[in-house]
Amino acid sequence: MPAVSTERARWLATHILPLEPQLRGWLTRVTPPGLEGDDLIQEAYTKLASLATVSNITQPKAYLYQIIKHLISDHIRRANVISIDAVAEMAQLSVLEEGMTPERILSGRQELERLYQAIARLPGSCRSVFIMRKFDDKPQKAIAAELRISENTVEKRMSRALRMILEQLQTNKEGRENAASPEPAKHKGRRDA
Amino acid sequence: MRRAPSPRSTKVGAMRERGRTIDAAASVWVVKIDRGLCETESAKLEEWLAGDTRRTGALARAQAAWVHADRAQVYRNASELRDSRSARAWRSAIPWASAAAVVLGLATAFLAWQGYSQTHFATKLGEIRRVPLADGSHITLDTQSRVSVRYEPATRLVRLETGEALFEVAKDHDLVAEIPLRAKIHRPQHSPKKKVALKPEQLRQILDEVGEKIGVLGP
Repeated sequence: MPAVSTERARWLATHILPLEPQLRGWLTRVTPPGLEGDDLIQEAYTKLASLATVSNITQPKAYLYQIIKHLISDHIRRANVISIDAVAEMAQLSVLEEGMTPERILSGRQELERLYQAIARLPGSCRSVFIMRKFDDKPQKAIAAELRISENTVEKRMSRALRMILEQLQTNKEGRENAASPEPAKHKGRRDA
Repeated sequence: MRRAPSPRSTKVGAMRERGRTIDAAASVWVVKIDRGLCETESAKLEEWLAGDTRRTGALARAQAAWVHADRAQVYRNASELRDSRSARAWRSAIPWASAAAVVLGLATAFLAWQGYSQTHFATKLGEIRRVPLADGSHITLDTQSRVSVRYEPATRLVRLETGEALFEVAKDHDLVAEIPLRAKIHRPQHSPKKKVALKPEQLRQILDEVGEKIGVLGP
């Protein structure tokens, strides 16, 4: 099966996608030279997509960061020479992991707002096909017929829409969330351990 | 270890496909999967996925966003987005060249809206609003758009100050009676379309073409 199941996609959308802006912020600080944040994220998704089940993951965020950490240390281990930098990075990694604990996940409402704005920002031609597909549940073929454009064009606009939405979702465009709370460590959201 | 080398190629500085490129390809695949893959395509997808470990992840991620987008439906403004849907369908279907229709549209909308006074409509970021007018016409304002309308006996001033708006005319025969429109002459016979979306620069072109001071653009 080439694609992930809808359930898995939904799970990823609920638990992982909203973490991305924060995760990317963190990655820009900890990613060792030679690795790309984008790559790590894609590989983390690969891992999450290929799990037999996700029902046992009670803390998706911790799990995600764990995966990323493993990916980074794998990389360092595989490198022929362990550089001082890499060792330093590893140290930094664990330190930051501590500070990461407090939740800074957008509320569901904020997340929807982001999504909504991502759709609203699409260029008109892309947005129309996207909305017809997603909101009106029209097949691509029907959209092509209705708009009197080729199916190929519908497909192109649709994938462009999706790509742009993905790009929007991965960043805090306004950067507000980050700016408002620069130091996660300040909010020691200690769970009763 | 005689096993084939792992496809995961995290070599430093190697010529790797960029994550962005993979994301773009993944989006294309998700849309193809959505419309149904033929056998050749399925095979191609398998092949693509096998080529790099990151690709499965990118595909899963794009699928997540794809599924995620359904949720915007239930959001507070979703009905407005939905309203704009038909309008947008029109937009892509109609060449904007039906200039006179546009002018008619503007004129009715504004005539119907308020006698001689000036009115503003504006939308915020992410907001799309469809304003119904008394005669059944509509103005649809796209996100972050502002239109001001002033209607005077001699001049009609339409300012599409920012953004994009769409004007739908419900009954054009009503217009003819009320508006001394030279624009009517310019109406293309073959095009009965009554809905046109405009960008400021397009509006300017249309106005120039019609040569009548029906609309004036903002800065």
